[in-house]
Amino acid sequence: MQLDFNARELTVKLVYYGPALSGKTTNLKALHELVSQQARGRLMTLDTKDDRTLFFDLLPLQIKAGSGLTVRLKVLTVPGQVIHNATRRLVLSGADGVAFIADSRKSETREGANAFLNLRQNLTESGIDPTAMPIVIQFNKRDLPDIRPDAELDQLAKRGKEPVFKAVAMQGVGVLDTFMGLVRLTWAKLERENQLEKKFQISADEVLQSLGAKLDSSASTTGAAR
Amino acid sequence: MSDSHSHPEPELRLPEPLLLNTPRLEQLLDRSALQDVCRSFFESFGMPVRVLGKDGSLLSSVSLEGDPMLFGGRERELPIVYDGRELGTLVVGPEPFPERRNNLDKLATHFSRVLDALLFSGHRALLASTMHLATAEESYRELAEKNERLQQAYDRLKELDRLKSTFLATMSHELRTPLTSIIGYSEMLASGMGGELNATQREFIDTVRNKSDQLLELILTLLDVAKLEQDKLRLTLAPVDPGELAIDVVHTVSPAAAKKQIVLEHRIDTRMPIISADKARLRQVLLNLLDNAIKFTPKGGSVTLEVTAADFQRIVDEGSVGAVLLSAPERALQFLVRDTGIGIPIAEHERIFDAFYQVDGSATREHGGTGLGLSIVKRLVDAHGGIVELDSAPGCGTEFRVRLPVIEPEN
Repeated sequence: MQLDFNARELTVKLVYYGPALSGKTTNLKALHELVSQQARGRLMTLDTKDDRTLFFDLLPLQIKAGSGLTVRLKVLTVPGQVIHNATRRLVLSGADGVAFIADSRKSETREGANAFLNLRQNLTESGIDPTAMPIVIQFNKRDLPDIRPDAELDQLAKRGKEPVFKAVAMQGVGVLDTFMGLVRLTWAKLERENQLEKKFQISADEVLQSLGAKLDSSASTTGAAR
Repeated sequence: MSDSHSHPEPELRLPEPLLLNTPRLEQLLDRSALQDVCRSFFESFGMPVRVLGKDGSLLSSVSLEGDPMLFGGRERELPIVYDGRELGTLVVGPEPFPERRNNLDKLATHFSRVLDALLFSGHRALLASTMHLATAEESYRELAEKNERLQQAYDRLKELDRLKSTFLATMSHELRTPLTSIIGYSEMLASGMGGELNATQREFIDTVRNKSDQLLELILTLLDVAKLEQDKLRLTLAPVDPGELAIDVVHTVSPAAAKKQIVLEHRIDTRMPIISADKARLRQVLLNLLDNAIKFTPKGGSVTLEVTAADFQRIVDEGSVGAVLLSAPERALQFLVRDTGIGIPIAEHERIFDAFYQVDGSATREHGGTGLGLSIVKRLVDAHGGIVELDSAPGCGTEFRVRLPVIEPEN
């Protein structure tokens, strides 16, 4: 988080992490679609010619809240391919919250677990305690056959402390839920550490409402989250 | 990263401000390219245009000659907003004709959109190149750290290897001292110095003697390996007649061959040169090879020793310039030991020269031995500047060839 008192600006960094081809960029694209046309900034993608993320994707979002404070959200994805670990660590450094996007298919379970271990390791190596990082998990591609069943995920989700979401990012389903869940969790931590409400009269509810209004699902043709 | 195992201080290695903040206009736009766009705009629409940085500095300007205000026309000023931030000002005009002022607004909006596209491309390129550099640095840092850890592990292993050799040397030496006494005293007993022995006692003491000799031989072999590993081995070079040496070794092993009903043949080229070598060590090489051959050849098989003159092509500086000049053939001597034994799988050919390595542990229990013979052969042949080669496959027997360069004795 960066706080610019003079400009009354708060910049928050949110990172979408996960194994290769789990749908991180698709999530960002769907989120971008949800922003009303006139308020929409450009989604920046730095990818290779076969559409694999090379460095990151960047979606900037901005809201005004509290006593005239501008909250700038920088939503980034990491490259998922194993070889790009150095880039992944760079993008992750300084993150305020992480959404972990996993592929729901049974065949991808191992990949998902490895990528999550990689996330933990990269956090630790960057001097961040993984248990202190706000993390939400999204099981994407719920429309595909041979996925891990709902009951199993629900059962396991109860045992972890992080919020778990289900999504079909290609259809925009669950994308907003995941994002709002991430912002809620991240904001709670930023509030604990920086007393934002006291300093700027800005509350979590207000941030979520402003964001909700900006990401008005009815403005989008891609369909809303459940 | 530091040596300590605690969490390192979080280093902000990422060009973080670049990712989170919006760069200045000057960082995103190429001045001369911008000037080209402005000029093209002016040529197409006849409209002057200026781009100013946040501090009012002029980045680009194309206008009519003279002070624009002299024309009394109106200018249109637009803030250059990118990523929610004001980065500078765009000034389009002056437009001297009031009836065309609507056109001025349209042109200003158009130019502002062109500028936005340029800024986005510039931002994207800036992020990509900065990220590229940061990634390269991060990868380098990661590799350097890994190399450091590998080097430490390597140094530690080298130290352990040295300790092992020292341990081997010390142990062998310590074992030998009491054993020498055991052999001495049993010899005295056998010679009747402690009184007459009956047949059973003599048989027992002979067994003690035999087993002690075997043990001594084993310990001496271990000492040899230890010395060889510590590079303490010094060759005592003297003129050696290879033919004579070969016949001597054949005589030594023939009882063992006869016991297993193995045919022991030798073919020795009689016109062998006298060479300069360490006779005892060379003898050990041939003995080890023949011992092995007999050990691993089943009853009724055959073992052959051939000594011939051969060419010796030592490849010097392989793969580099001048190898053809440096690798001239030398005169050489070849000792060949061929058997009709069990053979050695090709996958094992490299490793059989390692100390204590045995192709099959069960073979040791059946045939005895320490797994040191070939390792000693290799080291001794190396010390003589020669090479050992083998051809073998399971069930097809084995052929070892030792080639030594002919170094003629001085005088």
